[in-house]
Amino acid sequence: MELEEMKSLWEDMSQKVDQQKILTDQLILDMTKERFDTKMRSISIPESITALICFAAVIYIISNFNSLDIWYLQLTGIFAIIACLVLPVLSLKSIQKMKSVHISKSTFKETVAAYAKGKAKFMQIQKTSFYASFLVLIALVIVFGKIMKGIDVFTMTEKLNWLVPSGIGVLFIFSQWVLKKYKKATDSANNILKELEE
Amino acid sequence: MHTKEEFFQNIKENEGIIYKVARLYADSAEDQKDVYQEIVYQLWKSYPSFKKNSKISTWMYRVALNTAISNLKKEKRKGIQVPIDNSLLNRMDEIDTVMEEQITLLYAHIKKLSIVEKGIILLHLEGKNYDEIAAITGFTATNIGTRLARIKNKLKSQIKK
Repeated sequence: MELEEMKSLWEDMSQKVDQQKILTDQLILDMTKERFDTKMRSISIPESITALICFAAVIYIISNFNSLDIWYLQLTGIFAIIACLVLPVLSLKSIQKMKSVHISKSTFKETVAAYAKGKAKFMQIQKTSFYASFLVLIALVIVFGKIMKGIDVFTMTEKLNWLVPSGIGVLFIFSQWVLKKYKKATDSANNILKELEE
Repeated sequence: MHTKEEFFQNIKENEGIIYKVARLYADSAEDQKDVYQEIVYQLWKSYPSFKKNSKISTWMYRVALNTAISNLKKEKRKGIQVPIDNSLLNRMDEIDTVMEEQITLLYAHIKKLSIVEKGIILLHLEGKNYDEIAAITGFTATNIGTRLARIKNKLKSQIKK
């Protein structure tokens, strides 16, 4: 297929498509209404559930804070409270930011740049959340262990001897996978940005 | 003053733009339907801000392309789709199977290009001149000329393979 053939084929297709007139007022109305409702639902449900779980955990820790009787348990408790309050807010903020591209006002070039930057930023947030979630999980195990069962994880030296190395092992394996994904996404985003500057 | 009837009329008159952009930036039929609906929704949402100092089709190309780019890789957050008629997307095979085969091949070649190049070649094939492409994309007209020459060479060597 030659380039000229491409162009005339495209023109033929355009003519046929333009003649067909398939869209109706009702179909346009249904599509926009359904999309609007879906967007309202998709924004609120997953983020709200996560935020609710985090806030419930915060309330539970605060109301049982007196069970954390040693300074390092109290410190872990404070860390868990702060993390459970800050992480959902950060996640909501980053999602809001990703949605803030002005489709009708931006040019194609600006949208492509925003897409590439957003892609890189999103992966960076994913990477940070991965490590943060791991730390929060450890903190919650320590805090809940003490509150619910009265166990001080720090004194269980025998179990810690295998728990800590295996925890580090799991973190290492997953972080390799996360870093690989991060590098791939960042490289692709950088290539797009480089292409825009050419 | 923008009225609902005016919006419907404009969309229907230029529905081909939505079809061509959706088909270019999404691969599976399901993804194409999703992009198609998202474009219609974004057009509806942005219509009140449309200033009549540019052509409606120019504005539609911009919104459609921007939506397709912003929608890339969002499969996980895909919303519920209105059961739209398949004929909205399978427009060719009802008319001419040979032509549909050629169009599929044409799209396959264009889809191998980068996301920026796809947008530029689409506007070129749509008969837009350098200035119009520049107005939609935000690149300069000279830059569009350079990019188009490069895209044509790329397509030429792809077709020869």
